[in-house]
Amino acid sequence: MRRTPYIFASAAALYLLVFTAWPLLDGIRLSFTDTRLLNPAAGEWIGTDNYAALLADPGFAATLGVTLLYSAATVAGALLLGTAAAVLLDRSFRGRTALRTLLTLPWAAPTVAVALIFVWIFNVDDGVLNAATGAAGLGRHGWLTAYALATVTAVSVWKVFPFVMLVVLAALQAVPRELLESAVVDGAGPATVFRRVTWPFLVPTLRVVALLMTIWSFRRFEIIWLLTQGGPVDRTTTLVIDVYRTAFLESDLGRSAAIGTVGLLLSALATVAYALAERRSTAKDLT
Amino acid sequence: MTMRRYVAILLAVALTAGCGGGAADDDGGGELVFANWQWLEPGRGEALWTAVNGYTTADPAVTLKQQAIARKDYESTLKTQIGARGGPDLLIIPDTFLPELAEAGALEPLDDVLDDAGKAALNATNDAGVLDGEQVGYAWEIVNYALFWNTKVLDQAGVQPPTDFPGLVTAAKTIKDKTGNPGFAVRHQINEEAPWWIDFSNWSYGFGGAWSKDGALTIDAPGNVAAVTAFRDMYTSGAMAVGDDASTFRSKFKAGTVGMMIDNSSALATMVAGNTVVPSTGVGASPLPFPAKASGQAGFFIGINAFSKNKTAAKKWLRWFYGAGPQKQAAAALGASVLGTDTTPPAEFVTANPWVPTFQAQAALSADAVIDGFETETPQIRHIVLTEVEKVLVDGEDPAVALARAQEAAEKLR
Repeated sequence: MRRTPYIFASAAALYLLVFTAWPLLDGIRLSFTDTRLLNPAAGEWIGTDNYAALLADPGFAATLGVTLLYSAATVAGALLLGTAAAVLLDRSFRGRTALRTLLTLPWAAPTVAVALIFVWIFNVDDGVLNAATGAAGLGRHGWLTAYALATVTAVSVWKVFPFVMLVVLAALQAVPRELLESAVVDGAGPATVFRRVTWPFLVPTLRVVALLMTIWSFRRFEIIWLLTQGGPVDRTTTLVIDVYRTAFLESDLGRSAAIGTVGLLLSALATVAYALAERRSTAKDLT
Repeated sequence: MTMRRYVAILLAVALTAGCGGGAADDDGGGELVFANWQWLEPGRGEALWTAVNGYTTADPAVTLKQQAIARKDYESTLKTQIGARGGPDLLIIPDTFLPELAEAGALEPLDDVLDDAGKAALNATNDAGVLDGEQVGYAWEIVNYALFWNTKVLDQAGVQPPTDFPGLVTAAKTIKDKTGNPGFAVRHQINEEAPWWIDFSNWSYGFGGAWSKDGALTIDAPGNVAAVTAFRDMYTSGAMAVGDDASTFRSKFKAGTVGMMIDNSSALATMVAGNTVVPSTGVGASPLPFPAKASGQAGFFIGINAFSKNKTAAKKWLRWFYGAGPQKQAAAALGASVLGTDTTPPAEFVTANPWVPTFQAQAALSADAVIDGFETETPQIRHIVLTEVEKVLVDGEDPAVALARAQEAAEKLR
């Protein structure tokens, strides 16, 4: 019986070791080799050559830039839209439950189906969007060509903002009602109440959500791949798209693993930034 | 239960799992897994499978199983499976993929498969399946390209089928103006990189270009610059289905809402099969309206996975398939394609599909999209060139400058 906790813990540890730690470490090892997808056993140790090649490649710098821009815009957009929707839905009004359900749908809908629907919405000749802009005298546009990154970002924000909304909505329930009522009694307007009372309660939640959204944005593959596959002219090629393309189209597993390791470092940096912000906030609370 | 017993059970399960699957005796029987994207093609897929599966009547010890993979994901899926030393027993191999598989030692040599009579029946298309002196693939089908159109749409717009490139652009614009539908459609996006490269070779060869000569790359040769310039002019004409991938614009053609296309005979056969909106007899075809007579081709080969556990059975199947009977049935299913033997489709098929002879005639003037002398580097060069072509289309860059940049980048690969 004394061993039971160890048995349960070892199952979880074994799972993590086999499916997370080992692939991660093996991926890092691969990044120092010239392994090819069709003949992995023939890969040889080449030191930091893959990383040197990445640093020397202006295309990789552009990919990093696209990744950061896409992630920053997606996280900012989702946080803004999600928080605004949560604040709105926290109020009591007729049809609130129906609206909550409706706004949760993008998060619940299967990504593949969503992406395929958007491909049709953005179709140049037959798309609903161009039919609308054409009718409004705003012209027809190549949404997935001329404005590819902005369009992919907008779809991503639409897909993920309900997650922020749900989490913030839960956090809003934790704001003490008596504090809100006191502020109103003291003559504070809605904006002041939000800034002075609600906002401080939301910040810790938003910080965690921002971290999660950032890491997820670095790793997001399906929406981008299904809408543009990284094109046109690599304008929507993020690190994960580059990882996939390098591994499965160019068969270069070593370089692909190096790109993946850079992605891992970016996620680690985001986590460190979160930890620092958390520590600063705690220190501020203590003083 | 003690810890020791837990470990014993875990070990037993692991050992059982490790020994249970995969161990197969290569005695010429068993299940052959056959990978092909064409199994998914409505109508044609079933006809092809019937032709292929006929072997099980001749040899009941063998069963065949489809591995259907979407064309877009075909190469990447097989690379993953074969890289892990698994994958199908038999596979259809696009010509641009063949050198990469052969270099990795993933294809079983086939020199001993056919007897002398069988080898004598093969035509010259099989020569492209010989790499480093070894036959690693036999020709499954060589698919040619042509310009084709929806006769009804052209009549509606009052235009004649174009015979040169300026005429193609003018006709496409007139169709767009008169009907509101795209006048022309062709692949044009990096998100279909592998098939776009094969399609794009039509423009290069049609304008007298080539990707290499005498062992040197000729990406920025004048013919290629002219081809990219023409492609850009078509793209920016306002008459082309910009942003549509192949499955989208093919669906539109099928629905009667695209005027003209440059595409291969397999795609056309699939689009008109059982189609009452655009029947096969309502389609016209002509050689490409480009200055040179040449065009591209998509070559598909059959190979045996070197890591298959059923190589004997796969070889027996291959020997059977290149016999007269199965080839005749395959020709009926593949229609306008050129087969590995000089077997032609039934006369009634040609009568019912009047555009077939145009595609067949193109066989003598077509070439594949593998870069001679740079066979295994073709995928990387392809990505470099098509990315630069996209810059011309999307950013309006100068074709000569873009191809010069591609030439420089591609040369650095060696």
